[in-house]
Amino acid sequence: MIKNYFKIALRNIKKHKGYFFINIMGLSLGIASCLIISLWVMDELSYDRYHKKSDRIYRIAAHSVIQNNVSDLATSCAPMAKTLKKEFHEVEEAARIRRFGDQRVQYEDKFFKEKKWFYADNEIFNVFTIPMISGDAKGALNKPYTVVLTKSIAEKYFGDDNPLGKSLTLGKSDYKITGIIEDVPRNSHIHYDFLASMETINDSRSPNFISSNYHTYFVLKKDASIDDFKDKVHTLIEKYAGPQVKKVMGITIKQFYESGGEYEYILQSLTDIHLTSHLRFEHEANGNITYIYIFMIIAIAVLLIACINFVNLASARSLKRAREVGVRKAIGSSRKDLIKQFLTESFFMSLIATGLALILVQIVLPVFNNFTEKELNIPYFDNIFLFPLFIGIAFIIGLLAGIYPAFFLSSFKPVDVLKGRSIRKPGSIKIQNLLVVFQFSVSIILIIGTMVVAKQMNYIQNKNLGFDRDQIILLPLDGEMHTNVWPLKQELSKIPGVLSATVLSNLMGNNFGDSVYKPVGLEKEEKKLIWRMSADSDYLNTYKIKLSQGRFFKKDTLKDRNAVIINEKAAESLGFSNPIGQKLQGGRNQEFTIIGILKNFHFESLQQKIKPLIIHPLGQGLSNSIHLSIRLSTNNIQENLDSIKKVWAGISNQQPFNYSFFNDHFAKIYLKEQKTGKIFIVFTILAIFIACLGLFALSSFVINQSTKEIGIRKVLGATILEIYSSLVKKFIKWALIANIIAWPFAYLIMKNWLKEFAYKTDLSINLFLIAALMTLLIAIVTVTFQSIRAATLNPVEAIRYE
Amino acid sequence: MIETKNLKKIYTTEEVETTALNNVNLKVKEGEFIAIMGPSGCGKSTLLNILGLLDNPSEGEFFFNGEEVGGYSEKQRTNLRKSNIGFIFQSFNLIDELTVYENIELPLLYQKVSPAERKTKVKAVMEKLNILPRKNHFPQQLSGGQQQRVAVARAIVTKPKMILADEPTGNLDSENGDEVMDLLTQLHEEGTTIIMVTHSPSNAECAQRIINLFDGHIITENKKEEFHL
Repeated sequence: MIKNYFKIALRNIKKHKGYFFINIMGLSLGIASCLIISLWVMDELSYDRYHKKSDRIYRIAAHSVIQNNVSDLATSCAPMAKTLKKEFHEVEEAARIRRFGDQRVQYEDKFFKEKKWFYADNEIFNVFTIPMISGDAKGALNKPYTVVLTKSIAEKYFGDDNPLGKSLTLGKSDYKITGIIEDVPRNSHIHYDFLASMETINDSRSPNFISSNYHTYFVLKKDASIDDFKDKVHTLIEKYAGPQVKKVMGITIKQFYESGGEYEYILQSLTDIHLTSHLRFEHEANGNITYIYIFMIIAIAVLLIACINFVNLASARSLKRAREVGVRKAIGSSRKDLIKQFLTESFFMSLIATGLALILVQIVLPVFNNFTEKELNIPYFDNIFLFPLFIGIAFIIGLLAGIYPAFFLSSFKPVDVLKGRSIRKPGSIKIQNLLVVFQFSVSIILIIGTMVVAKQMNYIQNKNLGFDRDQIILLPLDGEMHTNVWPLKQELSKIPGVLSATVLSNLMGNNFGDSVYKPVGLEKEEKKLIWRMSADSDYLNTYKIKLSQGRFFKKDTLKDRNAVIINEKAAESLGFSNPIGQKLQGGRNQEFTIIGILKNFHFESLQQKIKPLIIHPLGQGLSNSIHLSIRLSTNNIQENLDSIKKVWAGISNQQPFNYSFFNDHFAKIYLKEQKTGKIFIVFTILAIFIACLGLFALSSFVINQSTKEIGIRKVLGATILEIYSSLVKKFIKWALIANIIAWPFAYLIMKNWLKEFAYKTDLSINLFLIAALMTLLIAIVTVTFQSIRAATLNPVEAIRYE
Repeated sequence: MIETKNLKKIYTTEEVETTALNNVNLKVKEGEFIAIMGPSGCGKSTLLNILGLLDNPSEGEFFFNGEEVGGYSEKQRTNLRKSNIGFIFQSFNLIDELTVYENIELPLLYQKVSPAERKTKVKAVMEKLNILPRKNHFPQQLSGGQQQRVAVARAIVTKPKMILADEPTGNLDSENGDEVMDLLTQLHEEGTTIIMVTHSPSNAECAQRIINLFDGHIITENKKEEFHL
């Protein structure tokens, strides 16, 4: 019997190729999208789960509100790890890790620039799961100036040689290699190439409880409850941080709280960090749980749209299948047999579609991986359950898509269909309408969503940041270039194409440090938290930042040694009625005079609100990291770059010339958002495309059913145009109803998404109107093709048809 | 074999009630060949559908082999139908996607006959009806007469006790029509009960008894023997 079903199914496919092509294409596209999104979601959810103790590992972060400035740090203070272990018996182990980025690492005559040099406590091996290939995990990082390398780094420096016992040079110090570890899996929230001993850093022994420079991870004992521990951990604030706060800010912790201040520790589950943590000083840009939800919704929507197509297409062909149903019933088929037959058919189709989808996924995955920088794949050979799983998926989809047509088709009465009586049931048409309206609604939500995402991305790209980021190139300076930066700048300034050049400590868009300043001479001498950076006198004209009051630094910054520039936000926060000439007291009781106020500009990413900022003059004594920014004239860019390269070669002592454009640096900050947005758009277009296929099929359904009506109308004198418009009207009605349903959903969903951004575009009514217009257009275009065919049909044939 | 008592069939649409059959009392003995005649819309097909267990009567009793089946559920009717009744339609109603062989085999599949038995039975009936050379053809590739022979073969392959034929020659030319009538006569001679709806008096001649329906009533019953006498 099953064989007979398959035979019929197969011959039906052969006979109605177009119909099956649309059906199978829609379904396989739907399944493929669903699969790819599932792989992506599973990957996002898998972060940091490779650690054996992952369910017990937490990171301690801090939330604070100091003078209305909210600060959420992923880091904690130097003594935290040891204190946790000392104070709480629930803590099985704790370890710190600290990144020292952009280091020049040397082995013999080879040197590389390394971005992933970290310091870590030896205990890190007891917290994380770090498989050691060679060396001793128990004490590899016990001694200062020791380092363990990942496998790929070891190969990079030593090739096939055994690196154990050899030394790498960083700065002026040699680090002895004590171990080789496996590379960090891609799905980790932190990626280190080097783990050097924390013992090496003097600051790691600091008792300071109110400066946060270390990422601290701890393992909770198996029988301990994290909720209980959360209540306990705050006792540390009063006990350890309190006295230090008093010393620095001059108020007790109680007074601090009473003045509206907040300070608390946040315990983050390790496995939640990748998707839910977006604090300052994250190791890497993390993922976003909102996207997981959004993408899961899209996956389900796409699959649902494809299934609805299947239902509509099957129903559309019901007229053609009706006679078969009648005959089968007459010669002894029960309704159950017929339901079985139609379900077998839909299962068969969904099996083919699933097969095609798997092929499609294989083709698309490399591109998708390349784009998302992931390594997604279907582990066919690793998991024996995978094959039955896919058959199960095919079965469920077949059932989902086939159940309604099966019941609908099998309900035909043989007497009716064999005699050619109308088999239209009032209920069936309503369900079709409902499904189409649903499909339309989902498409509209997706269209609006796509437009909002695109608009927001565009908004970020073009938002006036308060400075001019075009035509600026960046030169990273490290090692010996630190000392050569002034001659370099001077030489570069002589190039006609270089309009100006500036040396600064923090690049816009990167993380800025903060510090406490006290306004001098005010009634209420309250210390204020201000973000800070330093720059030389050309900062303003290079980045074209506008001065609001006063002046910027003089060429000879030594003369302005104790002068500072603040932004408007800081002026507001400090509370001076006329800030120019006023004094601020910084750390070590140093006094600074405010000489100028800058208009606010976005020195952090657009996710952050503009904060108070102070700029110190950057002079001979340079800060840790410096960047050289060069503004070029718009002409002959290549020529100018060549000249800059020549100057660089003369001064740099063979350091490679690596420049980048500020715009690329800026784009990188939003890369993740941009990419996610693009993926979103691709899947949305796919969903809309599948929905169009379905619409096309449904229009054929409706028109099939009205062939007779059309024939009669034509006999009675209706023109083609009249018939066409009567057909199109139905679809326009559905599209309009769908818009009304979809708008509130789209509004709520997108409003929620935009919440993530501190600076965002608005949800204008235009977007909704455009979506409505688009759906109407889609409806009209898809239906037109079918309608014209039906409307131009010879009426004699049409009447004879039924 | 069949007996109906005061059989009534009423079709109700939203506003109109149509009485298709009204107080039909009919007895058909096993092995009888009956023709039902009457003008369009007189209720011929409705009666045939009820007799063929494709439809339920609205009122009255319907005995099949002595059992009251008028109130049977669709499932019960299906079971009774598939082992006892074969259908032949005016428009053949073969399944386009199946070959001649597969169309004939279909009722046996629904009866869950074993593959080997199916093969012999289908082959036998194809030989009998002289369509063996066409076994792998699809219906569209056959002439009308050939298609109706396939339909007959499909109706008799299960060796049903009764065959219901709804204008079996209506779509055929006279030569092919005669051929089908010969087949039915032959089946009747072999002992099959046959009930046939027809417009054609000459086809009705083949039957033992002719029932004339008008407006849902049986108006006359002519026994062929008497007719000829």
